Parts: sequence; C-alpha cells; structure tokens
Amino acid sequence: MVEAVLDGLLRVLQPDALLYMLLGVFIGFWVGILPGIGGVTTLALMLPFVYGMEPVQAFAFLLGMHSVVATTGDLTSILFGIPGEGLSAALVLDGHAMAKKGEAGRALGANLMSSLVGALVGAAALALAIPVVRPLVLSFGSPELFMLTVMGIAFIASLSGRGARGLARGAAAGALGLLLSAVGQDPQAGILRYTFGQLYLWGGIDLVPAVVGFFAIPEILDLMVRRSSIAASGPTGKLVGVWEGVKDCFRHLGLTLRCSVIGAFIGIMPGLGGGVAQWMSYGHAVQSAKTAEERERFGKGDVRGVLGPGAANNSKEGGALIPTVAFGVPGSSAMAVLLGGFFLTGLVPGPDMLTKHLPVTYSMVWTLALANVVTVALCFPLLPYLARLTTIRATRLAPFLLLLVFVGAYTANNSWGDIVVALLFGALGYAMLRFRWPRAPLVLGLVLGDLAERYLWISVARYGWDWLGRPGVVVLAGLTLAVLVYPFLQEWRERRATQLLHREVAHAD
Amino acid sequence: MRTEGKDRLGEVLFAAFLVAVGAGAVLYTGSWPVKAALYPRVVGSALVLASLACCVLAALDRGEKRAAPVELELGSDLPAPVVRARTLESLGWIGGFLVAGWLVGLIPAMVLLVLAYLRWVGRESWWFTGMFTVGTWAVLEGFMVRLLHLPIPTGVLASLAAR
Amino acid sequence: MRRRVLVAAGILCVLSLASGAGLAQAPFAGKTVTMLVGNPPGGGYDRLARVVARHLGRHLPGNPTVVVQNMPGAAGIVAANHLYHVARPDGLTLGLFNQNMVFGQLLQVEGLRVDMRKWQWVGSLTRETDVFVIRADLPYRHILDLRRADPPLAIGATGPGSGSYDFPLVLKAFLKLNVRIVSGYRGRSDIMLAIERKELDGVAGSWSSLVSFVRRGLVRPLVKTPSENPELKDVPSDVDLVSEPTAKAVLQLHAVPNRIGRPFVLPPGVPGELVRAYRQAFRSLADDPAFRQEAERLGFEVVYTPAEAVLRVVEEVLNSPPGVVRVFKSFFRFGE
Repeated sequence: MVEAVLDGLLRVLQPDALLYMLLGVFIGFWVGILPGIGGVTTLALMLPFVYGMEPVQAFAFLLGMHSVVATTGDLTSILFGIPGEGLSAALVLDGHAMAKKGEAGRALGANLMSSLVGALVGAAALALAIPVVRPLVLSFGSPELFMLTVMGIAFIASLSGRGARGLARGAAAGALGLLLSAVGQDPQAGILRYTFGQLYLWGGIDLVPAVVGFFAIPEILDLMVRRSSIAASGPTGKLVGVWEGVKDCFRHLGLTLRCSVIGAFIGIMPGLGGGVAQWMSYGHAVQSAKTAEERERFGKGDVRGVLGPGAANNSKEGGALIPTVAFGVPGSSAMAVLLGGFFLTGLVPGPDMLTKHLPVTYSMVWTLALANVVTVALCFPLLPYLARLTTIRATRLAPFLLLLVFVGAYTANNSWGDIVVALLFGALGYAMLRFRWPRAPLVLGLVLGDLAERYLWISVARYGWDWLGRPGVVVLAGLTLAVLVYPFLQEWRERRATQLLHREVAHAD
Repeated sequence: MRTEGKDRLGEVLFAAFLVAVGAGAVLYTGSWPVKAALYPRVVGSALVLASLACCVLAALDRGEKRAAPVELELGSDLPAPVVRARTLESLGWIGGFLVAGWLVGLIPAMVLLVLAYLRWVGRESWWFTGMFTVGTWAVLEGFMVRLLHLPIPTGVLASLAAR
Repeated sequence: MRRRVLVAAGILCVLSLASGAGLAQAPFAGKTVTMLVGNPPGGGYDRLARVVARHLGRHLPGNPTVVVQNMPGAAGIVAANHLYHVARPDGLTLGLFNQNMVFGQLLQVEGLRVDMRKWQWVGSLTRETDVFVIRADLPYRHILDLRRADPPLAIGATGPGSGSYDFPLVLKAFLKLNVRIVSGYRGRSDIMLAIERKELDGVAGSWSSLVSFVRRGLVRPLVKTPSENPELKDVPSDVDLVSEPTAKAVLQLHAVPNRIGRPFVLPPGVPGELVRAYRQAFRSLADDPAFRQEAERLGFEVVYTPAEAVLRVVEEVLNSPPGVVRVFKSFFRFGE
C-alpha cells in the first residue's frame, strides 16, 4: 500500500498533471466567488475536455477545480453575508457577524486555515479509509441514517435562544423549517403536497435560493438602510488582522479537527447531502462552549462558529469521494458529474479502483491535498484586501450585492421561481431577525426534514419495527438524547453553581 | 427586560400567523393517505404548539431571560422614522430592479440599477458612476453571456416582440 | 466630399448584401445554439446533451457553438413549456426532454401545456431499454423464480411516477412476483448503495444508467423491455412473458418511448429550412466516429431514429385504445 501512496504522489507531481491542477485551481477560484456559475455546472462544462486525458491528469484538473470552489465560496459568506456555493450558510451566522464587527480579516484567516485543515483531514480520511471503506459505508443503513438526521434536528435545542421564550422561538422556527421541507411530491404516495398548482414546487423548495434569500436579503436591506459600511458595528479604525484568525485556528485545533472529522464522516455517507455537514459541525461547535454564557456568543461573531463549518465544508469533499470511487455511487451532485470523468477516461469506479488502480486513487487524494494547499497559499496575500471590502461605503456595494444574490438565484435553475423564493425567504428572515427569532433552526429543519421522513418510511417498509433494536440505532438514539439534553444540563449546573455561591456568600456574612 | 411595544405587537402577530400556517397545513392533509400525511401532521402540530407558546409569551412579555438576541441585531443608531423611510425606499429599489429585470431583462435592469443607485443614492460623481456602469455591463454581457453562456433572462417585452 | 460619402455608402450596401447572401448559405455562422435540457447537470440526459453538444456544431452549416443550458423542474415539463411558448422560434434553441413526456400528455398531467405532436422533431441518437435487475449473489436466475421468492425481495424506488417504482409495480402485478417496493430513496445512487448494503435486493431503471453496475458484477438483469441490444440477448423481454392481450398491450405501451430514445425537438414556428438543417446534421452526427466512440464510452447505445419515425411513435402512444390506457393509468404515473 505504501508504494501505491508514493506512486500516486509521483504521478501528481508530473509537470502536466501539476499544470492541469493549477488550471483547475484557477478556474475553481473564480467559480466559487462569482454568482451564477455553480461548481457542479462548471464541472459538467469542463468534463468533455478530459476525454482522452490520462486519468491522473483528468482528475488533477477536475478535482483541482472542485476542491477550490468550496474554499472561495466561503469568502462571500463571510464578507457579504451571501451564502456562497449554495449551502455554506452556517458560515454566515458567525462569519459575517465578525465582518460586521470589523473582524473580517480574522474571520477570513480563520476560515482559510480551517478549510485547509479540513481538506487535509478529508484527504487523509480518504487515504486511510480505503482499506476499510466497504464495511464502513455498508454498516450505515437507512435506520442509522434516520437516527443521524434526528440527531441533527436535535441540535435545534442548542441553537435556540435561552430561557423559555428562546426555546419556544427555536422550536417554532425548527418546526416551520421541517414543515417547509414537506413541500413537493411525496415519495411514498406521489401526492403533490402544498404545491398549490405550481409546477415550480413539484420538487419542493430549492434550498439554494431559499437559504441565500433568507440570510443575504435582510443583511443587504440593513446595509441599504444604514448606509455606512459592513464593518460599521465594530470599533472604528483598525481591522483586526488575518494572522489573528490563523492563530485562532490553532488555539481551537481540537474543535477544528473534530469538525473536520464530522464533515468527512458525513461526506462518506452519501445519503445525507451537502448542507448537513456544516450544520452538524456548527451545532457541535456551539455545544463545545463551556458555559451557557459562552454559548450565547455564537451567532454574534464567535470565531469557533467559523472554524467548524469552514473545516467541515472542505473535509466533506474528501469524504464524498470515497463512495464515488469505491462503489461508483456518487456522494454528492458534484461527484455525479465526476463519475462521467471516470467513464471518459476509461476507468470503472468500484472495487477495481481500490485494487488494480490504487495509485490513481491515491493520486486523487494527493490532488485534493495539494490543490487546497496551493489555494490557501494563493489566497492568503489577498485576504487583507478582501477584508477591506467591508469598509467600502454601503451605497457603492449594494447594487453589486443585489446582483450576486439575484443573478445567482436565477441562473441556478434558469427560473424566476427561484427569485420569488429568495424574496419570500428574505422577508421571513427579516421578520425573524426583527423579532429575535433564531434562524439556524429553520434551516436545519428545512435541510433535514425531508431526509428524516424518507429514511423513516424506508426503514419501516424494509424492516418493520425491528430496526429500532439495531445497535447503531440505539447508540445514535443515545447520542441524540445527549445532544438534546446537553444545553439544559449545562444551564441547570450553572444555576446550581451560582446558587451554591450565593449561599456561601450569605453564610460568610 | 421588556421588549419594545411595537416589536412585541409584531412578534405576537408573526407567531399568530405561524399558528395559522401550522393549523392550515394540518387541515390541508385531510384526504391524503397516511404515508403522505403523517409527517406534515406531526410537524404542523408541533408548529402550532410552539408558535402558540411564542404568541402567548410575547403577549404577556414573560420569560425573556437576559433577553439577549440570538444573532447580531440589525443595527442602527438612526432615529426610527429615518429607518422606516429608508427601509421603504430600499424595498422600492429592490422591487423596482426586479420588475425592470422581468420586463427588459436582468442585464439592462442591472445596468440601470448601478447607474441610478450610485448617482442618486450614493451621490457619486458622474465619472465614477459612468465607469462602474460601463464596467458592470462589460462583465455581465462580455463575461457571463458571451463567454459562459449563462442563462440570464432577456425580459418579457423582448419575447413578446419576437413573436 | 459628397463623392466619398457615396462611395462609402455604396461599399456598405454591397457589404451588407454580401453578408446577407452569406447568411443564407450558412445560417448558423457565428451564432450560438442553445441546447435546453430538462434535467439537472450530472444525470444521464445531461451527459448525453453535452456529448452531443460537443460534436453537433461541426455538422451544422456555419459551424456554430453549441451550448447546454439546464432547466430542471417537474420532470422536464418546465423546460418543455418554456421551449414551446417562451423561447424564440429562430432555430437557435434546441430541446432535449424526458422521453416519457408523451405519457404526460396521454395521462393529461396538469401543467403540461404542450402538444407533443406539434413539436418539430429533429430525431434521436440513442435508444433506451429498461431493465429490472437483482443483486448478483441472490439465487434466483430467471424472473419467474421470483414468484416463489422467500422472503419477498425488497425493490428500491424513488417514488411513484419514476421508472424505478412503476415498472416493478406492473411486473409484480402481471407476473405475480413476490416482491415489495420500498420507496423514498433520493436517487439511483442511494438505491445502488443500499443494494451493496443488502438493504435492497433489486431495482429497475434504464440500461444506460445500470450498465456499469451490471458489468461490474453487482447486479444481474432479469427482464428487459424489448430491445436489440446484443448485451441483453439472453434476458427475456417482459412482453414475451405475458399472454393476456391487455397486459401485453400495456407493457408494449410502456416500452414505446424507449424506441424514441432521448429525443431532440425544435419549437413549432421554426422555419422549415432550419429544421431540415438540424435533421441532416443529426443524421451525419450519428455516423461520426468521434461522437460514437465518446458516446459509447459513456454507456449510450447510438442508434439514429429519424424525425418521422419519432413522430409516428408519438402518434401511436396518443392513439392508444382507452381500455389499455385505463389499465396503464392504474400502474403508471408521470413523475420524476
């Protein structure tokens, strides 16, 4: 196996493979930043060019492009509050809040560093998992996937506000998200649920325009009203630097690594999809706060809220490659396009990739790692200038932000319906911000609700009620309970501690 | 800490609206088979209960422990009437942009927006405005349409004219 | 001074006339043809569209650039409606949709505002076959063995309206197979993974989407819709397995769109000479060795079906006897 690893590395370091990788990185850089050009669509566009290439070169190009998109897509999330590359909305919560406090540089630095860590962990996961990938993926059936989605939903408790009112708001937001995910054609009986005759809603509410509108439109509106600049809420003058962010990543290295692992793991499970990884790691980051006081800082610019999703966003790509390579089953929509790349270069994804063509597989691992290192190296000098974008007068930025949002929404599916959805969710997001309702639970419900429902019915149809006794299910149920109860436990412990403290003070008098 | 009067009313109404949405969703599942109806009924009922709780708590203004908002608030030190006026004006800009986009296509609408907004709201010089307008048009038309062939709507009026 | 202006004007006139004449000979010169696909990027239809787009330009007079645009939604209905009613009939937009859309019209699906007969069909480059496969390690070798399957096989599906749901449903009913349909998977990939996991025992789908799994040895095809594909010659065809006439007719009806393959259309209103240019281009594209090789690598069976034949198939479907349609409707819906 070690020979295969080294062989893979040598193949990537060939001049033409390297050149293709750099080309891919260059293209991917712009794809991530600019609206309207999605990573998946661009992959599909670039695919025909690899016909006839050697596999290593082809994947150096494709993977080089793909792995960069995740990193640069994060930039607009942090700087402008516009979720880049579709689903990286979790980053907006704390990342953009930091930008508003004048800490854009720090957020960018932290994000870039954690993206690198995440990508490396993802690549390492891919490399290490290769011997055990089959039993690993195969042990997670629909019942286990159901429990995983339920666990994700349980994070809503931590992401709600404090106190009875906060919890009620969080629960309502989550329930609304869960309900909205039911829109569309139902997968059991084929009934069109809540579509009200609209063809556009057959497939349900498209997450991308919804999330983009939900987070970005209130921010842009706010900007247009304030007319100052994005970073106006922070201490005037100095912008906190990029290096601070890099140091943050290492200060919280444990968290970053854990979230990378979460991302890679969820990437390996093809049944879960892109949004889940970053929200689960965001939820985990929130829960890593040691006191309830600390937990409150999330959503307002805590760097840990940037590290978690930043890492997970990149590590999940390495994870998603695993089922694609090992089973010929794409782990994400980008991977579905990548499969075409296999066919065009004459490879057959499946067990052969783990035996006969092992060096090619490892060359993909190395490409992932190297492409990300190159991206980080290239982006770093740009960060301070990017951070300064947050000091530009709002009136100069606003039209372009509107462009990013609406053109991006339209070109995703060539549809005005997406613009309407973005507007409606924008209105909803604005209302929720005004009334201090937490927005994260709604997105969580929207992303996870459909999945939970599907896996529940599949599990029941396939196993009757026996699946409740499966060991994986029991373990995950226990974890879910822990996730749900944890915030209450924390608060109860704190209250006891302050009560004891008061009693001591009273006694001391 | 007591919440602002107007915000309180707004929240009560919003929560009440969600109660209606949840109840409506549950009722709407009336004739569906169980497999399609179970999930929406469960979740819709949860929405009704949770929103009802929010509604009641907001009306009574209770239970707001250390009332800290969950996210960074929409900040502003400007007086309320100014905020309201500007909000309406901004909504007008956004709405106008989209209507224009629908009529004449997103690219012309975008160019118009940049021109008008930079000049009249941003009070930029003609030179600055002109430069940005031309630059925007170049990027949109040259890059997105000519090079990348992105699907950008050309407007209802244009397709009517072609028929 | 005036003379110079006159000369300039004269030159301009001549130039514009010349370019006009040039245009008549190469109508697509310098233009971009948009291929509208009613499916999202990454799937089978998208892959086919892109490989055709890569090679089609060479065969059209004037060698235009051909670009693919995805417009997913409602199993292709959104794109079909758009091409039919909204897109300019100037011959620069070509459409590729769900081959089953003719059933959408037959079943009078709400929202479909297109008469399939009024399309200006260009033709089809591929032919499809539907197959029903089971896990290779299961002991059943012939489809009728599944009558005695114990425990009943779990067949994965995405939802009513998709081939993975409707086809097994009708096979189960007509052939009395002991199988259960487990619906709700998000897509083919999830189903294949579940098969690997042994959570599922089989699936139905198009041959081009399952071929790589069959070749790899994961699944074995047990029944197919009628096809001349040599790789499937030992697999019985569903029509041959039933004797009752209505059942036969329903299965034949189901298989009809496969004879269309993945059809390309132009909206009504496009000038006849442009339509003819496209048809000629497709005919020569089907013989293009570079195209054939690339398409076959992607798993497509390249078979050219001219426009007239496609239109005949459409008419055949829409003129089906009501008795057959009634039984058909009880099993098949139109969906993703």
